[in-house]
Amino acid sequence: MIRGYFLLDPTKYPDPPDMPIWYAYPWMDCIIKIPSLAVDSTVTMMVDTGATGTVLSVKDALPLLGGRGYRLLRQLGIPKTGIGVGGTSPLIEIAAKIVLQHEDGALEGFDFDLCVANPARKGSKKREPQLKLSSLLGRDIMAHFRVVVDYSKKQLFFDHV
Amino acid sequence: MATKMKAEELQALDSGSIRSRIAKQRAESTYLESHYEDLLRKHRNRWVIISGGKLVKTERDPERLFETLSKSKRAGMLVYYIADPKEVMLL
Repeated sequence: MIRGYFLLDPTKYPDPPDMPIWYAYPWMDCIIKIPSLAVDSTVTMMVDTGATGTVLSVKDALPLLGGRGYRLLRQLGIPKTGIGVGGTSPLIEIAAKIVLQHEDGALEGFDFDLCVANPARKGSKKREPQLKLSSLLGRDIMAHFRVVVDYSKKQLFFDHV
Repeated sequence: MATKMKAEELQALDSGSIRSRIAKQRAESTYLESHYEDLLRKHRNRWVIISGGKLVKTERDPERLFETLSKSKRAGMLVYYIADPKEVMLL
């Protein structure tokens, strides 16, 4: 069982007192590796059943890639477009690995195509909201598991049945 | 399509190091959670950078944050925008 957690559970805080548990974010910590860019880092990702694929956000990708890494990513990767509630966003797809840790310490990993959010140009109105978005653990990885997101019991985990 | 990594490839990874790194990453989230009320009071509408289980920097200006993150060599830090959940809904 790979356990995630609900972060910023509003029911734990006296202020604001009137917000329900489902305001808490379902998060999971994992290792992301991009061999072609020598990236190997832990990343906290939001478990998002609405996301077709796994996405590394701008704020998580910048410290790992910097300007030089992004230039190389644009050369090696495949441009894609992400479509969400907030509109479209440019993504770059690249071969990556994700490693998750089971409760008993066992590791489980996948080779997959990671979409890295491509920062908007300086001065663009999209740039600021991009920096507020979390990385997303999408259905490409979730499809390998039974996914339990149980707000009533405050449990979030992936397992195999 | 995500394909499962082979057992021998996983075994070749330094599993002890990976467990330790994942535990450290959880510590960043734990800090955010345990200090959230304080962060909301002091750093609302700012980004916070948490690393090594502590707050290392806050930033209000997105361009400065962009520069800071681009130059940072830290792996595994947590960057989070402190917004009032009553005013902001993440979609």
